[in-house]
Amino acid sequence: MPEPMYRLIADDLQRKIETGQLGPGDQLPTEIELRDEYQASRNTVRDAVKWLIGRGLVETRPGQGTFVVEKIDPFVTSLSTGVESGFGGESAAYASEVAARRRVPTVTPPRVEIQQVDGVIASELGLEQGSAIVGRHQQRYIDDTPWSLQTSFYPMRFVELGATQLIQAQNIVDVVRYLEERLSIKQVGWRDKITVRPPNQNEAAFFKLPEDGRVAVFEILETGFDERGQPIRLTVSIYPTDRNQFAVVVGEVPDDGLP
Amino acid sequence: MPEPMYRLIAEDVRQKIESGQLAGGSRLPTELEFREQYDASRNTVRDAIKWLMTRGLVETRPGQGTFVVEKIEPYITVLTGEVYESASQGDIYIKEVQARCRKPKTTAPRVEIQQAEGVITEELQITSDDSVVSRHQQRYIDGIPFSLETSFYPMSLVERGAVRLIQAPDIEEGTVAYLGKKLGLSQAGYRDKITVRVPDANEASFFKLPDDGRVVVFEVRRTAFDEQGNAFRLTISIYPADRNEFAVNVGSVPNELLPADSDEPAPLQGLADSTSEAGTRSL
Repeated sequence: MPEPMYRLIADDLQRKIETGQLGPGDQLPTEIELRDEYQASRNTVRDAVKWLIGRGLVETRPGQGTFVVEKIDPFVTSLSTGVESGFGGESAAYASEVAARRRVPTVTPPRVEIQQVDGVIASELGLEQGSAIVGRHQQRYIDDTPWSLQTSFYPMRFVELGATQLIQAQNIVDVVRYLEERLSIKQVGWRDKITVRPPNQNEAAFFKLPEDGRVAVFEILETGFDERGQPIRLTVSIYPTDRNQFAVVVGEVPDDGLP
Repeated sequence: MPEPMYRLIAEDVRQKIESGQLAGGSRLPTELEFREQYDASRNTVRDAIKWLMTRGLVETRPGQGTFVVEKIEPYITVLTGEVYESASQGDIYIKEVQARCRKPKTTAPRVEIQQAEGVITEELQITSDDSVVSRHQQRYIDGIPFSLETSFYPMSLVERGAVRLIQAPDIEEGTVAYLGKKLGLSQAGYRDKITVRVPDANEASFFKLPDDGRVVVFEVRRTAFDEQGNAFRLTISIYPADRNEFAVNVGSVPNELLPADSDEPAPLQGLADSTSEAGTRSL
């Protein structure tokens, strides 16, 4: 099957972008210039540009023209680090992991909400619909770029048992350790569930994603378990796929994986 | 900021789709019917439908109208398996899928010998002068294409005697077990790298994805290492994000076998909404 003309043009432009002939932030030739260059009709040129937009390679800035998208230097998050850490830490683990790769992390102080549980949060935490939970929400930046949104949920029972820091709007350096010291609840493992979906409007606004939903987000549900196999926390994290990658290590592998 | 009219209509229709009031495969009201129902202009109704289309909720069939997209029941692949297993081998895959009461099928491997390039040289720690064997398989669940998998092995393994790597029949006991028996090679661990990208033309046509790149794919690269820390296999698997999910288990986790989520509704969207709504508010 021969490629349609617009695809040949799009492929050619894609190659120029990938080889760097058209650099990030560069303006694409105008529609008229492209028509001249490829001897193509207006609609064909438009379809080619539309195809590139759909692939996140170029973007149109109203009144200015079409530009090569500037790629964000991706960050690789390891999902299989030591059992004692996980995403439970609100600042320490994250900050040191990012800093170790010579990048600058920022985490906002948590916004704490107490709410009635339903849906997935209830089933992951093994709670009845309507019981009370604490949600601790943070925004995370790397090199001043919004990088992820994270909310950890804990049963309100933990607060009643004495873990009162959970409802204070200050960072708890290591929640997992805090729960162990305070309540003798020990996290012995966790499970991540990874899905990808289009961002909702709030996520698109926070991460400055195009409004058309073309850049998808990872949604990772991490459930932590104690020694009896009871869920003790659920952390929901949202990561745009244009700047995030993940690594999973099983067994012995040489330590060259992450820079 | 008040929501624009088209978003209110789109949200209303989305809610009807998510609640099942508009079922997968059913036809959406016509443009005219929408205009009457919402008392909205033609452009507003069109914008609303466009918004639903980019979110993969509805699709237009030329000459027939707009339909609710039929969701494929997702399959969850567990990335953390036993170290000594090669999680992606034919046999293990088939058993795992069957254990969740679904019907797996894999095609016979297509075997190729090629020069190493790009990511293959990097991951297998070889040069572009070296040859690699690639074994490529297509995988289906319940008759639906679910993943494409290609494993690359250094040609040196064949030269050392693992000749079945270049034969087309499936290595039924799994390649890791075969390499262990044949060469005494033992898998000490593996590393997965997970990224998401737009599908290429071949992937889009195999998985029957829309040509506009709106359904993205997971690309999972798994590098396996022997006891000396040498990489001996790279497996690149492609999974469309509209039908695949992954799980990672660390430490001790109760053995909730994963088919149980069939009776779990899917209020994920709602959950995420509240999560990030919160997020932007506190900015």
